[in-house]
This record gives sequence, C-alpha cells and structure tokens, in this order.
Amino acid sequence: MKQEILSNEEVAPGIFRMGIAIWKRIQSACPGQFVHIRCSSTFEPLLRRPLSIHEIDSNEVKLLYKVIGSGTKLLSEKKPGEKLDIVGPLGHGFNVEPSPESVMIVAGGIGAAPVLFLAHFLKAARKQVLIGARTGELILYEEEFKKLGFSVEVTTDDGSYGKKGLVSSLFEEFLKRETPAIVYACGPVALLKEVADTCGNCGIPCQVSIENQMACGVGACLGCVIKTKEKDGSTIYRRVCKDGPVFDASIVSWESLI
Amino acid sequence: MGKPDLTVNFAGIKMRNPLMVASGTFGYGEEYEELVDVKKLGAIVLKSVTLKPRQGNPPPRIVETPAGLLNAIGLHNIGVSALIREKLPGLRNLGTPIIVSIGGETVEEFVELIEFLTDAEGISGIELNLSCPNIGKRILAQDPAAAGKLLESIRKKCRLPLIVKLSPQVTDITEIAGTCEEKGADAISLINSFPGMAIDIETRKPVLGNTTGGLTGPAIKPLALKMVWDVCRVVKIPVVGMGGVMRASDAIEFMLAGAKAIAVGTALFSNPDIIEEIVQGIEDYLVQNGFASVSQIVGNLDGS
Ligand SMILES: Cc1cc2nc3c(=O)[nH]c(=O)nc-3n(C[C@H](O)[C@H](O)[C@H](O)COP(=O)(O)OP(=O)(O)OC[C@H]3O[C@@H](n4cnc5c(N)ncnc54)[C@H](O)[C@@H]3O)c2cc1C
Ligand SMILES: Cc1cc2nc3c(=O)[nH]c(=O)nc-3n(C[C@H](O)[C@H](O)[C@H](O)COP(=O)(O)O)c2cc1C
Ligand code: FES
Repeated sequence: MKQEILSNEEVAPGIFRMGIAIWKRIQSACPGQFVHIRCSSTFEPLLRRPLSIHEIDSNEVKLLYKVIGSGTKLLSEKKPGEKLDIVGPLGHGFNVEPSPESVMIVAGGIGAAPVLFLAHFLKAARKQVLIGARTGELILYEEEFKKLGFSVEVTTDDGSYGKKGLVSSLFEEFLKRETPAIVYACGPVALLKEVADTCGNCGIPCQVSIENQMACGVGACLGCVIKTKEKDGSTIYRRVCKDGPVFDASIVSWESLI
Repeated sequence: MGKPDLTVNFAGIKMRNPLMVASGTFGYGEEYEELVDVKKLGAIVLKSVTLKPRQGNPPPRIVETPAGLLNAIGLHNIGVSALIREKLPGLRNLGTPIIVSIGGETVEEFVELIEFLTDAEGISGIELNLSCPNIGKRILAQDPAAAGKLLESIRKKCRLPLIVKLSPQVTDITEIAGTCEEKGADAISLINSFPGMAIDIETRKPVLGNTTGGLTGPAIKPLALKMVWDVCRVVKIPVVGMGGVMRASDAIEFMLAGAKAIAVGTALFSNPDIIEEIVQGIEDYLVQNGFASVSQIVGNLDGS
C-alpha cells in the first residue's frame, strides 16, 4: 500500500518523526503494533523495516525512528508529498488491562516510540512513566506524558537532564516505594531483561516489546523467532512479528537474548 | 488480438497463471491473508513439513546480505498431522492449487509422509524437498542413487503429481534431474538456496545461530537461471524455475530458459503484490510480442 508522507522532521539529533496519511486498517491499531516499510523502490535494502506505531490521530499516523543504517537513512531523506510503501498494522501489541490501580511505563532510548501511543490507552488512578536516554536532548515527550496524566521521571546516562544513571536503577529504586499493578517496558534488550527480572522477583506482571530482524513480518517465514518458555519448563520459538512484538516478560528466555 | 492465455497445466496441476509462491516463504497459506489475494496466485507451495514437528535452528535465523537474504530456519514446522488437521481444511476452498512440500532424512520418513498425504483432501501436488541445506550432513539431492531409491519407494504410493525440488549444492545438476525423471518424478523444481555465511567482525562470531545458512534473492538469479536452463535441456518433464525472481522480466527469463512455471520467494517479503505485478508484466510482454499464450515462450530461447 502506498500512503502519502505528510511530514518528516528531525526532532532530536538522529531521531526523526514522520507523519503519514492514515488508512482504514491502521485506525483500529493497538498500541505496540508495528508497520512494515519498504524504504527503497530498488532492492537495496532488500527487506522492509519494522517501526512501531508512535501515535495516531484523526488524519495521520506518526512514527518515531532513529537513523541507524541504510534503511532508516533512506527513510529520513523522504520528503512530504512522497508516497511511502507501508503495510500494517502488524503483530500482537500490548494487552491493556482494564483500569488497574496503578500502571508504570519504563522506556529506554528510542523505546519511547511505541509507549506514547500506549499511554493514550491506559486508564488507572496512578500513572507513572520512567524515561531514560543517553543525553538530555534525546528525552522526548515528557510534556505529552504529563498532559495524559502521567507523572514523569527522567534519567540520562550523562546526567545532562533529570537524574544521572540508568533507567533500570531508577525503576528498582521506585519499586522500593511503590508496587504498580502492571509494568510495560520498551527499549534495549538489556534494560528489558533487568525490568523483567525485577518484576519477576516482585511478582508484578510485565509486558515487554522486543525487536528482532524480520523478513516477512506476517508470521510466514519463521525468521524472527526468539526462545520462550512454556509452563512445563520446555522452550519453544515464537515469532516476534506475529506472536509479539509484545510478550509477557515471564515467558521470554532472557539468557538467549543477551 | 484477445487477452493471451496465461493458464498452465503443470504436470496435471491446473494453474490460472504460471506463478507459484515458493515453499517456506508463504507459511501455511494463511499468514498473508490480509495482504495477498490468493485467488491471483497460480499455486501455493506450503512450508516444508516433516513427519514430526521440528523446532528449527536457534536464532538469529536471517540476515540481509548485498542483494540477498541468508536464512537458517532449519525446517521449523508443525508436522504433517497438524498440517492435515489444522491447516488443510481452511485451504480447501480457496480455488488455488495447494502443493504440500515434504522433507525427511530417511526413505522411511518420506514413505510415511506420502501415506499420510496421498488421500488427504485438498492437495493438488507434492513437492519433495531433497535439498534443505540446513539439516544433517549430506542431503538427498547430492546423492542421485539415494534419491532414485527414494522415488522408487514412493512413486507407486503417491497418486498425486510429484515434484522433486533440487539443491544447487552439486557439481552437475543434470545428473540428479535425469535420475528423478527416470524414476518417475512428474516435475522438477529448482533451485533451493545456495549455502552461505556471514560473520560479525566486532564479535568475531557467525551472524546466524546455525553458523551457515542458505542464500536467496536477487544475488542468486543468474546462478539459478543457468541451472534451470541446464536441467530443461536434459529432461522432458516440466520444470518450476526459481531463485531471485523479483520482477516480470526475471520470470520471463526463466520461462525462456525452459521453465513452465515460476516460483517466487524472497521478493514477497519486500513486496506482497509481487505475484500480481509479475503476472501483469508477463501478460503485457505476451501482447507486445504477439504471443497468444504463455506456453509459447517456454523454452523459446533464440540461438541456444
Ligand atoms: C517490532 C519492531 C518495532 C520497532 N520500532 C522502532 C521504532 O519505533 N523506532 C525505531 O527507531 N526503531 C524501531 N525498530 C528498530 C528498527 O526496525 C531498526 O532500527 C531498523 O530496521 C534498522 O534498519 P536500517 O536499515 O536503518 O539499519 P540496518 O542497516 O539494518 O542496521 C544497521 C546496524 O544496526 C543493527 N541493528 C539492526 N536493527 C537493530 C535494532 N533493532 N537494534 C539495534 N541494532 C540494530 C544491525 O545489525 C546493523 O549492524 C523496531 C524494530 C522492531 C522489530
Ligand atoms: C525464509 C525461507 C524459508 C525457506 N524454507 C524452505 C522450505 O521449507 N522448503 C523448501 O523447499 N524451500 C525453502 N526455501 C527456499 C525457497 O523455496 C526457494 O527455493 C528459494 O528461496 C529461492 O527463491 P527466491 O530467491 O525467490 O527466494 C526457503 C527460503 C526462505 C527465504
Ligand atoms: S518475520 Fe517472517 S515470521 Fe516473523
């Protein structure tokens, strides 16, 4: 499907936000689902690139992406008015629990992309978000979260904004004071593992969004699997594109991902 | 001149056009439901199944390489019983021929698979995957004598059209193709992926969990085309050509080299509309060149 690009701006160094004209199926997308984009009309790069849905409003779907290689570079060079070859929504997103006491979002780096969309869906008496990034410039959407009724805490690796340190440590400290009913986490796998371990120890349900290389994006090629645990202790491979990208943190075999 | 005739009778399988989706790239026929109109496909070849379910290889299983894709899925599949029970019923009424691909390590396994499948409803053909480069040591497709024996054992038991899929990992592909024809194969398909690998120089580790994998996509097209041409010159049974078909002109090249049908795999990943686009492109080519039917271009290579 070809959709018109409405905007494509660098919102922080190396991080772009793209607005794309909405289409019918995307309007019923769930937070945590992704779109699959062909970045070039040639076959270089050959495969599509998955990007999470960052926001959807009445006329556009927004993506937030970091330029890391050839695909995202090509994407960053696209201009408003051009058509984008895009497929979606795909995958299994977050399960939004109906009105728990309190919810917590933990987002590291570009992991902030899908959680802003998630934040719109969460209803709870107490809503918290912990955002971590390398440096202050890369902390995005603090205000948006506040507008949605979240209390926001920030960490940066270099201490240029918010607290200095890792968002995973902030999360651990936070749990000494409070116990959210559910935790949602996005970001690098090392962060996800720490959040998952901490939640596991405290018995807090936790959902994580996991990234992997993809080919088909629809569950057909079995190229994107990760190892997961079954109740009986055995392990099976599940598809990130179809069974995920959001998984219950307790079923993920974290040792296999680090 | 009217619309050219695109239909193909491929070894008894009636196809609305010569384009199939290649095994392993279209799952069990249902995953692409929302993106691909299966009524536009000539046939669907399902992911290879084995007698028992298989977990497949450890990840990472795929990596992009220049103009290609390396994969090491390792025959991850649900097994033949689950295929018959859970998948075939939903595929029966699609109106598009379903070809079941089977894989095994021994003759006995293949025989049992055939026994399971030959009377199952809704199957138009069987593809024997002798060529998965990801399991075991030596593969059946490298051993004409063993492949011949396998065909002898299953030919009588199989009432469905039998397509043998070959591997490029041989010195002379025509040798095994000839044996398969002689031992009763109804058709040949080629090629499966080429063996390859990629190394991460930072970690100094192979990128794929299985260390090596199979290369597919545009990078292999000239190699595949040559092998299809080689095989078409020595066998009389029909051939499905595949390997890096990304556009109509690629498909036409394979047909001119002698392939009666074409399978597309990797290209689907970047463009789910690829089959429709290729079929349209072939139709345009036939019209422009004054051919009344697609069969007129099969093997119609000038000066060879
Ligand atoms: C479900 C899902 C949702 C995603 N959502 C977003 C999003 O909202 N915003 C966003 O910026 N990114 C997101 N990603 C990651 C994004 O898909 C990759 O960054 C992108 O595919 C890279 O493509 P490229 O061609 O630019 O880089 P490539 O040329 O493919 O890669 C360049 C280098 O980066 C490495 N690399 C590739 N992918 C990743 C990765 N995911 N993490 C770390 N290193 C990687 C490669 O191994 C290579 O060394 C998501 C991924 C998945 C699976
Ligand atoms: C991810 C993936 C999985 C595959 N799985 C199978 C399989 O199970 N059985 C099989 O016979 N071929 C399998 N193949 C090979 C394809 O059917 C085809 O022979 C090959 O990809 C070449 O065609 P292409 O370049 O158009 O992809 C697989 C290919 C890919 C990319
Ligand atoms: S990318 Fe093909 S199964 Fe997930």
